[in-house]
This record gives sequence, C-alpha cells and structure tokens, in this order.
Amino acid sequence: MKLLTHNMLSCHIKGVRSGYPFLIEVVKVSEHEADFDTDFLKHIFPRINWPAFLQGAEAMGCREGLPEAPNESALEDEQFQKAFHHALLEVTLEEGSLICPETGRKFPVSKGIPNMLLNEDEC
Amino acid sequence: MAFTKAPPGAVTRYLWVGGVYGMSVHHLAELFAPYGNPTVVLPESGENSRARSRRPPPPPSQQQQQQQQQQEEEHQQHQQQVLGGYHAFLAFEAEGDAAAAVAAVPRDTPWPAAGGRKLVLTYADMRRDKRPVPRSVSTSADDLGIPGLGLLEEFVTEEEELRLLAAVLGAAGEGGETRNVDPSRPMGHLPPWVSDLVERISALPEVSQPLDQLTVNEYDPGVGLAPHVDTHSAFTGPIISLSLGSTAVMEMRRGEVRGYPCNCNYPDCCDSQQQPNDDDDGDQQAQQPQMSAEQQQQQQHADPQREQEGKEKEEEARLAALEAEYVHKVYDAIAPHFSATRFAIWPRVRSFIESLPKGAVVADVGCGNGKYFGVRRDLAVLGSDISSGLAEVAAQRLHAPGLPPSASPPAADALVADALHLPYRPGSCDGVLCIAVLHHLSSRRRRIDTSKSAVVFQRYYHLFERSELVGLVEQALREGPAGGLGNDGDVDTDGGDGGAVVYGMGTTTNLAPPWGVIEEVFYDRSNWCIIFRRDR
Repeated sequence: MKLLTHNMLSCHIKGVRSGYPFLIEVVKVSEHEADFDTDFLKHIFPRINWPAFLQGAEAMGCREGLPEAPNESALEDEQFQKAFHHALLEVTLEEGSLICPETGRKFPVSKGIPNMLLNEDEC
Repeated sequence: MAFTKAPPGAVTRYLWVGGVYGMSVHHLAELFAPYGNPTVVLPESGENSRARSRRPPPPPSQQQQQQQQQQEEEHQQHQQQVLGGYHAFLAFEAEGDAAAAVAAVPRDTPWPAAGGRKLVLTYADMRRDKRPVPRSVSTSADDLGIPGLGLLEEFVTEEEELRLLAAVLGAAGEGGETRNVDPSRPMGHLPPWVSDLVERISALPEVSQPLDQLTVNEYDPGVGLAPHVDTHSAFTGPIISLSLGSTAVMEMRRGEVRGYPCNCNYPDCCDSQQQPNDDDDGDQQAQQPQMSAEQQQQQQHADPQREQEGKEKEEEARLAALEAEYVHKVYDAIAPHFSATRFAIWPRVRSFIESLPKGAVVADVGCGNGKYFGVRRDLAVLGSDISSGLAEVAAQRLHAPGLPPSASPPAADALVADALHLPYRPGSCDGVLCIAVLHHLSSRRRRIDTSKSAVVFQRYYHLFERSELVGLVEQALREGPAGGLGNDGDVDTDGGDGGAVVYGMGTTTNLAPPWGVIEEVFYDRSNWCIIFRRDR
C-alpha cells in the first residue's frame, strides 16, 4: 500500500464518523523506484490531504523533506518534488495494519494489499 | 465502385477532391496526371459515368472493332463531361501516388492550374456494403475437423423446446424483465424441468458423465458473445450448448483470441497446450467439445420485496453467502488462471480512461487481475477486488522485479474490498471503473447499491438486458448517494451541474432530481455498457 492510497482510504464501518485517516501500524516497509513525473505530481497534489499524508509518512519513515504546509510554489521546487514523489509513490507498506482512529479496528495489510472487508456486524 | 471519405487517419490510394464544380473531367485528370495518372470517378453514379450506348448491338463479326471504337468514344465523352457536383474521387494505382498528390496540391490557396479554384483533398475509400458478407456455415461438425466437436440436430422436440422455454420464462411474472427463480429451491440440484434433458445428455457417448452445472442465457435477436476463451479451470468436462427458440451460429477460432500460448495447469482442457492429433497417448480424453459455455448454477435473480427489516437482513446475509460460495470461492480458486484469460484492454474502456483528466484518481472496482492499472501512467488507480486471489494477481503488476520502473504503473495499488462497501473517502475519486461486476451480485437491490457507490462506468454482460442496466442506474441515481464514494452530506461539487438531467434512453421521471446523469449507453462486444456521472 502506497501513501497515495492511504490518503484516499477512510474507515467505512457503519456509524463511524471520524474514520480518517487510518493510523498505520508498520511491520514491514519496502521501497521501489517509481517513474518521476513532475506533471503528475502537480496534478495529484491538490487531491492529497496534507496532514493525513504527513501522518502516514511519519509512520512509514519517509517524513523527511516534507514541509508542514506546502504552498503552490513548493511544487516548483525540485527538492520538494523529489521528497513528495518518494513518499507518495515509492514507499510501500508490505506488512502491517490500518487502524481506524475511531474504533481501533485493525484492517490487515499483507503482501502490500490491505484487506478492507468488513465483518457482518460492521456494515 | 462507390466511394466515400475515409475515416480520419486512414491512408488509401483513393482521394476525395472537393471544390471541383465546373471543371471538366479531363482537366481534373490532367491536374493529377503527374501523380500516377489516376482515374476520375464521379460520385453520382459511382462509376466512371460511361455514356450508355444507344446503338443496336453490332453483328458478331464486327463486334471487337466496334467495341474498341465505342470505348474510345465513351472515354471522350467522359473526359469532356463537366462536373456538375462539388466533389469527385480520384483512384490512384498506389497509396504513394495519392499521398504525393496530397502533399503537392496547394492547401487553402487558389490553385492557378485549377482555374484559381481552391481544391480540398482527403483520403477516400471504397464504400463498404453494410450487409454482412455471407460466409459458409457448416451444419456438420465433421466439416470443421475440430477434435471433440459434435453437433446433434433436433435434440429436443418442438414440444420440449416450448416446455423448456416456458419453464425459463414462465417464472418471470408480470413485467418479465428478470427471470426469477424461486429462491427457496435449494442450490446444488439442477431444476427438475431439466432433469429429463440432462439425463439424455449425460447418456451421450461423447459425454458419459453426469452434468453438474447449468447456465441459461437469454439473447435478444442479433446479440451474441464475442470471441473468448473460457476459464478452463472452471469447466473441466464436456461443454454442451442447447439452442432454443432460434438458430445459432457458432464460430470457432484458433490462436487468434488469446494471442499467446496459455501455460495453465489444465493441459487436459487447454486447446493451446494440446498436441496435434498425431500424438497418441492416454491423454486423448483431453479433447473437449469447444462449444459455448453453460456453466455455473442458474443465475439466481432473487429480488425480495419484503418490508420487514429482520427478513431483509436475513436475505442479505443469505445472498452474501450465496455469492461467497458460488462466486468468490470460485474466483479465489481460479484466480491465476482467470487472469491468464483476461488480457485485452477493451477499447471503449480505454477511451473512457483517456477522457479523464491528468492526475485523476480512479477506483477500479472489481479490478480482477489489474489489467487497467497501466493504461495511463498519469492517473492514480485504486484497484479493489473482493477476491484476495485476484487482488494478489493485480498486485503483481505493481512491481516487476528486475525490470525498470517504467515497466510498472507508478501510481496504482490493489486492495481487497467489497464493491458494496468501499473504503474511499468522499470526493476522493474522479472516475470509477466497474467492469463485469454487476452480474456477480445476486439481487437487483445489491446491484443498485453497487451503482450508488458512484459507479461511473459500468460494463455489463449480455446476461442483462439494456433496460435492466439502465433501470438499475436510474434507480441508483434517484436514490442518492450511499456509502463509499460520496456520502455523509459531504457534497462533491466538482464537475456537477445538478440541474441538468439527460437520459440516453429518452425516459423521463417525475421523481426528485436524480443525483447524476446517464451519459451514454452502448452495446459493445456482448456487453451492455453505461457511462454515468454522479453530481452529488
């Protein structure tokens, strides 16, 4: 699971009001090189919830180089682009869990794949 | 020979030339003579407007000489003819000549040689006759020489045919859109009205085993199945197809559909792994009839109308269990092989994907083997499937060990999730793919609920009629958002214009304005497809 994905996931258990963002419990993280595309980064940037992204990056150990509150001009800065790119796309949670901030329910992540299936009583 | 403008991008050896009003054919021919001496073809008659001979047919002994003279005269007449229309066609010997002409002729400026006219050139092509090209159809399996293929005519009497059709159609009741089967009938046994038929089929020497799966497919006239390879891990024995109510033509192709050899673990059922006939070992059993499928249990379209919540919940649970047993388990078991039979990117899906803006976030709901992950490298794709087996296969596309990053989609991911309960935050997704998913859901209610999860592009198998697909989506749009991709009052106003309602089918509704718009409904390769947009 990449941090890009983590940024879009929200707890869907019935009745949960503040299920975003998931807390990340890291057991194993891996890194893979991804094609660097500044255009893509610029377009995806507005879709990213930045505080959630920082939180996730902190958990996955790639917080370094990411500013607290980047503005539009940050996108032009190569340093920022590289840090953003790296954290967003190149760091993967292989083993661990996503934890709902409201209920504490853990959704397992295995082989890089989060399992978001709900139990009968949760939906 | 009739011509028409060629589709954009096509290069042919014919040109459409416009702006020729008042020119003589001769003049036009002369203008283009340097480019391989094309023939001028007039549009009206579709032929080189030969003047009809008014002379009585000459006596046979003089015929040859007369013909030559006649032809010359006609040619002269043709050449002197003044073009009464605005365009004509030029037939060149070769594409290169046509292309040379296109390159040389002045664009958008008057051409002195053409009497100051501004000629317009574009490629043309022979007008294709829309009527289907008749092909020979065999009525004997032996003619085709496919091992294991058999055809039995008149397998059921007319009476039996009517009885079977009535049994299938008769359960529908009023309206008749969905064929409902009594849900209280236990799964695991084929319905009693096929038992006679099944017995006879099982007794056939080519079959010699009990049948354990049955699918009933209903096709509208003209509708059929596109070429495909069935997942042979799921269908390990003879496949028998019974055609009722109409003739059917089945086309067998070898090697073209898949495009690469299948290295599956089912060599007994795999045509691309089988040796040619001369290989005589015990495996001759492996020659399965290659007819179209009748697999899985009969699709159960249970559509409970009950009001009580308790009963609804029970029903939901039962349907979920049904799907778990007959759909999810099957896919988990066959995932790698299923993946191997699903490789083609459907063009209409590709164009939908290409219509999305850069940096869009796309939810591929029911992503299967993730084949749509890499169609565009500038999109984020969140692929989800309820089958963990398939999600794993999809995940394999994310990192190709030993290969450069350009071999994998940079911004895709796979998760295991239920289409009815998607874990995406409101407004996170710009586009949604939901391809060949709905027929895995066993009730209309469940299908509507899936559509409510902001499904934008829905491809739908032939198992369902167009009106049913559209009806589902209309209903979903009327009911408003549900959990998953747009909910909890968090209004996503991107790209929505709530007020405009356009229905591709020309239907209208007096109910509250729907939460979106149906953009397009079309039929493509045996699938009904719908593109719709959620505004809220």
